[in-house]
Amino acid sequence: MLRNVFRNSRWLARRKINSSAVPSLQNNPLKKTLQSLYYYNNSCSRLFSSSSQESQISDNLNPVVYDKICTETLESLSEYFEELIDQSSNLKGADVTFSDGVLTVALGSNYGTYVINRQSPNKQIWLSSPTSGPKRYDLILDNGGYWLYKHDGITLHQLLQSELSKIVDNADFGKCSHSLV
Amino acid sequence: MAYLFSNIWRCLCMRNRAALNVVQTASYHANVIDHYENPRNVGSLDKKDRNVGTGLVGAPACGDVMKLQIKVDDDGKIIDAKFKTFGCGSAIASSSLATEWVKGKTVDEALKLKNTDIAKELSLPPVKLHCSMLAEDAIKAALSDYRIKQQEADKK
Repeated sequence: MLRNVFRNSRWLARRKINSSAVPSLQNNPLKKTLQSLYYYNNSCSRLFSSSSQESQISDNLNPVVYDKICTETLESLSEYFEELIDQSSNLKGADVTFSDGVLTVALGSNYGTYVINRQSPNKQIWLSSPTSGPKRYDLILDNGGYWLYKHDGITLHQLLQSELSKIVDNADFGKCSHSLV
Repeated sequence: MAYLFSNIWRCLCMRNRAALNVVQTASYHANVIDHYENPRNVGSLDKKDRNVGTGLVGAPACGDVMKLQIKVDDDGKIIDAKFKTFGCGSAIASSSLATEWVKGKTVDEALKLKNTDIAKELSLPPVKLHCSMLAEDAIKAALSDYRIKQQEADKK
């Protein structure tokens, strides 16, 4: 119950941060030129996908907000993975390390290694899964902020839920912060 | 019994202590080193040529930039490919392998090239799988640029 209270207050505070950050970004002319340069960079990196909507979401994102949500997401995932490994009998030799924004979950040679890391220049979280390969998740600021892979519309925690459910019985990534399962 | 003694002796022996330590090393796969030391298809083509498609992906801030160019003949077959990559050894090897594979294929066949094939061929570790995805993006960007050029030329 306390956790819910904290989550809600965090959500309310974040709403305030977002609503105050967006107009300040839009009014500053210097920021506008920086944004257009960033848009060029973004469109260069994904030439064949629809880039205008993506860049609007990432350009309006305050780096401080991104940093905070990213750190919270990774820390919460790190704790949850450690819990999962402690609970599961088939993950005895598994290891979780988290430093410098890189979370490495080595589940052993049967299940492979997951690497989830922060990618600040793109304001993304990058995931490398042993079963489904690499994916890049963008931050969507609704519902308290969650991470979405735009090419198939699946969130980071949905993917982890579906893949880890095949390895352990009681995976529930909905418990992590900024998850949308 | 004698067997047991000799084993215990071997374990305790100072001489063998070094042999009991297992040092874990991580190194690039031989295929990656090969592409790094003998790079194939490095260079550039004339980007103004209407048969040349150029794909530029990545960003210096992320640490990886790949420029991949393909030259397509009138039958829709890729006759030449060149690349220039700024990045880690795995990124260089991924884009080099991509140019090798794409030569001789038609435009539609080249679109089917997947990052998983590149990653398997180079035995990329989990943290470097993103390099193979960037190489796949580079090919798709080059092909799409070629398509756009052809459509513009057809309109004239």
